[in-house]
Amino acid sequence: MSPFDPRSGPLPAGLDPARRAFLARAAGGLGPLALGSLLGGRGEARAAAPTGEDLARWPGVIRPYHVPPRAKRVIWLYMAGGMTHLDTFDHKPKLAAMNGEPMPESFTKGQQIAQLQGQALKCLGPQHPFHKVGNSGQEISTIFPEISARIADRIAIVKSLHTEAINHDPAHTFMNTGAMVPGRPAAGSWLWYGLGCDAHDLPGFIVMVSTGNYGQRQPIAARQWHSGLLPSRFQGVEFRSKGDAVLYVKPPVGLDGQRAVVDAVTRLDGLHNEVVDDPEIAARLAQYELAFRMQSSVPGLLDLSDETAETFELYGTKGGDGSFASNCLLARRLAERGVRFIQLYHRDWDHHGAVQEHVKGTAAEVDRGAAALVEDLARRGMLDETLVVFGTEFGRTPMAQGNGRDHHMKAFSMWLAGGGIKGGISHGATDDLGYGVVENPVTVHDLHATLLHLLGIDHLRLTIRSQGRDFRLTDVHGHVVKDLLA
Amino acid sequence: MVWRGEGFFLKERRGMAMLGQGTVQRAGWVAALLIAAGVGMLAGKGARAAEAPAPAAVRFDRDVLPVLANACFACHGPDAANRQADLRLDTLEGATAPRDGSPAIVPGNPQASLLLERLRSTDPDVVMPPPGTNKVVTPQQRDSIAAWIAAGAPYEGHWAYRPLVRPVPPAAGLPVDAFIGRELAGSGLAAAGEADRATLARRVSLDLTGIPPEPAEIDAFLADPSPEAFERFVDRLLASPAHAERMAAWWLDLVRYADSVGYHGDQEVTVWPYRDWVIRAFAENMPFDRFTREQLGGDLLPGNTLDQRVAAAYNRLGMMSAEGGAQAEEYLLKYASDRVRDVSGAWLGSTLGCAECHDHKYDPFTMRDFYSMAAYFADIEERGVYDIGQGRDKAWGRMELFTTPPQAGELAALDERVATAKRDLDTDTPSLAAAREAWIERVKQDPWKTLAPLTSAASGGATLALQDDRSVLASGPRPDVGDTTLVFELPPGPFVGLRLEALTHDSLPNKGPGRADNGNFVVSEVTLALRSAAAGKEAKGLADDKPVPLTRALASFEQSVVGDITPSGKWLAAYAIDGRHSGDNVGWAIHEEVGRDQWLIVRADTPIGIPADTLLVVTIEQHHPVGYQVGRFRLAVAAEPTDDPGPGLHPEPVRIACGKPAAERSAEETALLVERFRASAPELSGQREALAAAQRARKDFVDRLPYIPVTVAVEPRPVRILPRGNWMDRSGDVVVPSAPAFLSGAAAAAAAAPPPRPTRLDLAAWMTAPANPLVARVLANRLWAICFGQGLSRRLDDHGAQGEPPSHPELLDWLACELRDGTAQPPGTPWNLRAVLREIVTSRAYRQSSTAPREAIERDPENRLLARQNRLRVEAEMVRDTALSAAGLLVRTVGGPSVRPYQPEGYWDYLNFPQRTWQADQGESLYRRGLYTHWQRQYLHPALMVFDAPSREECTARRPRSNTPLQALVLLNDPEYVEAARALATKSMAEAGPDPLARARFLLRRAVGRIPTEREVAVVAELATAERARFAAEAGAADKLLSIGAHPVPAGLDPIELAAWTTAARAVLNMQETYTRN
Repeated sequence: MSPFDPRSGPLPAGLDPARRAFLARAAGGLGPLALGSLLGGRGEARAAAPTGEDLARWPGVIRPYHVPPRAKRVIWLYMAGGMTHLDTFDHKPKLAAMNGEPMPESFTKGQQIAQLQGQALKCLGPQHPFHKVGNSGQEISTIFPEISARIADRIAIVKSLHTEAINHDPAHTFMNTGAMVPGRPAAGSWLWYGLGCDAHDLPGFIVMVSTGNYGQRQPIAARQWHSGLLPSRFQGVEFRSKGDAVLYVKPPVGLDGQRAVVDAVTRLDGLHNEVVDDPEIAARLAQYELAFRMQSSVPGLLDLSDETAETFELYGTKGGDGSFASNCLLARRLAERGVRFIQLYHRDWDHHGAVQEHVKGTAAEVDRGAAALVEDLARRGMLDETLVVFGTEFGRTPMAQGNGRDHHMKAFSMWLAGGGIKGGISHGATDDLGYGVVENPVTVHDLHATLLHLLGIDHLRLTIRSQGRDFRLTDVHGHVVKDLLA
Repeated sequence: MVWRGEGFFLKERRGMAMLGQGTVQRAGWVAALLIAAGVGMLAGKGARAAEAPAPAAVRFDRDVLPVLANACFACHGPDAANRQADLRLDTLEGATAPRDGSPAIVPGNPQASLLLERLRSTDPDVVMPPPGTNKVVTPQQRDSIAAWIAAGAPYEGHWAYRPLVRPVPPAAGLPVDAFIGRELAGSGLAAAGEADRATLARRVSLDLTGIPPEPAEIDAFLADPSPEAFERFVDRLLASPAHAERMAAWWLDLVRYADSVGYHGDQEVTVWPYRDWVIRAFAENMPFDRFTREQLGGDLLPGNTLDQRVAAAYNRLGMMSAEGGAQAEEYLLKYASDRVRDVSGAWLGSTLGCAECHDHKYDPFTMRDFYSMAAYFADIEERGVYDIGQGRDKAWGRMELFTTPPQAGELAALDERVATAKRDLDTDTPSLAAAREAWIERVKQDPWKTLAPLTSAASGGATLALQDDRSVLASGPRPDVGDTTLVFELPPGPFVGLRLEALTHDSLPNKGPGRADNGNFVVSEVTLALRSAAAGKEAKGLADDKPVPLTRALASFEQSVVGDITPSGKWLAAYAIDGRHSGDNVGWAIHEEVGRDQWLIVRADTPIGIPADTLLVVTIEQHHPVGYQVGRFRLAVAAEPTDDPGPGLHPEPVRIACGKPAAERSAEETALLVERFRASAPELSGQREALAAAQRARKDFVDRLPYIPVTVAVEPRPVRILPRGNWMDRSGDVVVPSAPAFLSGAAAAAAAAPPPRPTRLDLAAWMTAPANPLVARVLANRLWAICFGQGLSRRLDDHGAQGEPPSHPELLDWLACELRDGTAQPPGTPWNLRAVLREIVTSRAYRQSSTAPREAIERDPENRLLARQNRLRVEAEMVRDTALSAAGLLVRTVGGPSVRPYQPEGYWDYLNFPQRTWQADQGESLYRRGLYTHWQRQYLHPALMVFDAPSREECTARRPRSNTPLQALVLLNDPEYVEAARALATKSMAEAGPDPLARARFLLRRAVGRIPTEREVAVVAELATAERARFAAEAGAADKLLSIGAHPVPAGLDPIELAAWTTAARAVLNMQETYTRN
């Protein structure tokens, strides 16, 4: 249980009143010079405790862990637009056999349908062959050669996911926040709030978006990484591939000039604090220090000159081009620096038409980067402590929409790898045509519960009080999918 | 509708005779139950009481109800469907019901009450709440419950729902201070002294107007020796337009006002006239009951005005979707739920939205209440899924042209000009009549000759098939974009142009005539070229083909455009000959008229002589993704320049009328021909031109005016209770509009009542009826929060059982009565927000200092006793307004379309349908107040968002006040703030003279209002000195800094000096105090 409600009263620095009072005393009593040192200013001796870093860096409310953690962080590769399960990870030979035939009404009667409403429904077989790969013999579409060849035995494919939303916007919101109604915190915000962030110069929740060349570009609303009911400090921060990598991170003059401004602000706020004795001032100056550090850490993060040619070859990118592969490489760098939750959107999976060509094209845009990321994490010994999720907001119909597929919420596939995940397995199954789940259904809430569990959190116990009730990522549902755990 | 004033909790009172009359005190209002037994049980805490100001009395609503609600009601509360062990603890009846063993509560006897036994148990199988629920009842809370049971377990009613009775202030003087003083008296805390006047002036200016005062205003206030100086200062603020803007910003959060629809493509929607209505309402201090009535039901008021209909756009502020494939029924439910959440959040301070899928867990709201509330709004005409192809006046359903009064006058004059021109055109003469008969003869001759192509080709693998009627039908693969080329043999003689008929066919989507999924097409470009037959019939452009210059294009119909895809607001025929080829995706399109035949004429002004053996090469280009080719078409050529599509394409009545001798035509037929003739007769070209000019002028004018979504009442949709909120489940009861049953007691009556069905006006009347205590309390609490940063009950969004009981319940009720009944002293009119705000800010409590001895802060860290004021970071819009105001940049224009200040490039990259780029405004629009910034729900301006401005997807009663590094990045690096610093520095150089200390003082004073200390002045001056050296040493650095922002740099200033002072000003505009309201 959290020691306080972060949304009540002016407590944004994340400290309980007693600790704030202590800091106020420390800061006010020692004067502005010492305040500067308290905040880790240049050339000053650091106070023993607590440091400005502590003030700026959220420690998390989960202490101790509810369950033994299996992973420290999450990298979520989000295939936005509704990745077809039928042409990627859920092999349906029967559907191939029925290609072009009417979809049996027993499947579709009374079901919710999106753009295919009122049209004759015909089966559309898998558009690309599948093959059995790895020691595990996982069945994966041949449009993922790298994932097939390199990491098949590391991933657990979940074929029995289903969701409650049939349109993109609410489905994304549901996948990220556990609710279709906007306003709930994203999973990344929950984890940052719950566990804090190990990075001292980066936010705990970072989002990157890449755009491909096949299919309709999905709108991605900033609400997908919003902190919702949680304080705004837990909002995901977008790393952009054009303009400033982080909004407003570039100072108008050089870093030295910026330092002079921040130092003057520290002195001025310190002088004022002698009068008003306000703990908010110390907390705010700590945020200025973090902001200042980000101004050099972000360019440093993006400077790939310390990566080897072999790494570039592995990912198939030199970086810096805003591609999915480039973002995968950045994700590994962020993971190394202690960022808690890293989410990479690739927003071209909405294949209403030309599914054969377009799914292949989009798969090619993500295949190598995703496989390289898992492999790279593994060889650096980081995969055991990193949960990698490769998923989407919903699946696509076994029925044809012209030469494409419509939205489908009754079944879709994802895979997970890394910390705490049993590799080389498949979990759950759909019916012969891939329409509905027939074995081990997994809800979005179950996925969230499992994710929290792997990071040491009981999903029932990470809550925030708002509008008179406790909210959690899993709403009032969710079960940990034990079969996935190593 | 009647507010019965006899609610849920009050019914329980009848069964609790054990609560002696003697405990009910102070004008019959149960404020604090001084319970003899309770005092005894709490006596052991005497030592603690000296540390913390805990009154030594147990209060049901403060000490008992929240504990029971939090720990017990989820399983033993109002929600019957999920109630465990058939035990209900939210009513006395339920809690005292006989059970196996003993009842949960035995009034007067804690020892016999099983509830306490279960709460105290250490056996994990017995203890309540069960360990797995993550809920804990502390020993102190248990003691409170025991004391309360000992006193008879009086379920005295939830504080927010009790009838509202005006409490008597406990002392003379200002009632606000009397109520606060009484609580303070027993606490050992002393009220802080009055804040210094500069702080006070800045505080009250920020609270009431959202803008800090100019130093000159502070000086005038400081210099005013009168005892009423502060009141006068307050009155000036309350009368200012800035006050109305500040209150509007507050209200817009509650009603989730935004400039975009929120779902999926998050397209823009024009609703700023509603925002301006809110500003006007606050400017004229509109009584809150009228304010409520006009927003909920302005369209239902007899003889309603445009202003009232704009107010009723409140009902259309929710999120809307235009996502392809979305199901209308599902989204209609989303919209209905959204309205219930908003009306209950904004007015009732209640979470009725929780009852969409189940009865409320903590408050006595039922699912029936939820759907009955939704039913009030079931008459609003709306669509589940909108179509942005419908044009700017229809895209979001019912929309109305919005005009200000001067614009309405101008529009009337333009209408008159059109009418006059039309009269001129309509005036008939004998010579015209003769010309008309000649024209009729001409119409019967078809100027067009239909041709069959010699060869044809379509890109992207489409198949073209010639039909018996010489039309060409496309089928097979449908390329995203592509050209269709056809070659014809041209008859020798004059040639002037081409007629393209776009024809429907059963094989096309929606019957066509286009191949796009909706039956539409886009003809991006039509080109005609002449070729010698010797060059061959190949259906593609050849180098020697000679283009035919085309100067005129007209069509049967031109589609309207949403947004700014085309400059004209239409998909004009003219775009088909504008000479723009690949990459240009606009053209002629016909969406609203799909499923019907259409035609396009493209031609030269004068005929061209065609020698024998000439081929015509026609290319129809389509650059608009995806697949917008014409599906079936037929081509014809003409020798004469004509705008007449030919008899076959005249509507049938025209053809029939032309075929009859004049004497045999009916009056209607004659009128029809007169009208057609007027449209084309050369004799009337002057009049036609005048009419067209008048119509164009009117259209140009109207095109600049907004259409806003409005509320139009239609036959109400039936509203059913949806089990588990599932919109596909039709098994639930149909409900009629009704307020929550436990509040009104009227639900049953309404269900049985004959028509008329209750309307939104009834809802408004119920909410602001004198017998409704909830709305007045909610509003009073929020006005208090405007002035103190937090409410008397800090849960501004929930006045239910899970909310927080007010720290000063009688004060809250007294303020609520002042609102509902009008101020008592001096006697005022009801629902006067300004009067109540004035009462709050002129109190001693408001005016006291926000600094206090550390001991006092530690005793009451959350300031519940109000022994001091609060220090608060100002809200997002005020952050911006404060910096711009200090810089002298703030433009004080009130109202108008939303504006676009600087925004980082690419911030909107992930918006689509359509893709958009942010184009920053120029000039004054860059410096407007924050509340006018374009409010994009999915991508709110980042500088507003980081300071906790909400996306306005949902009702927001209370913004968090966070403190993040991203805020520092905005204040340090956003061009808006760098530019503000430069403007402030420029001002200091102009107005403070050359002395660095004077300039530093000037900067600080403009930022924080008070006189700065000499140490502060020294820090700023030192920074400027050091920076001057840096800029002098670093070539180009000064110019680089000064180039940020559009505001011009005055000539003649030394760039190094200005850059140094800009840096100093940046420091000042980054101080915590600058954005703190002390």
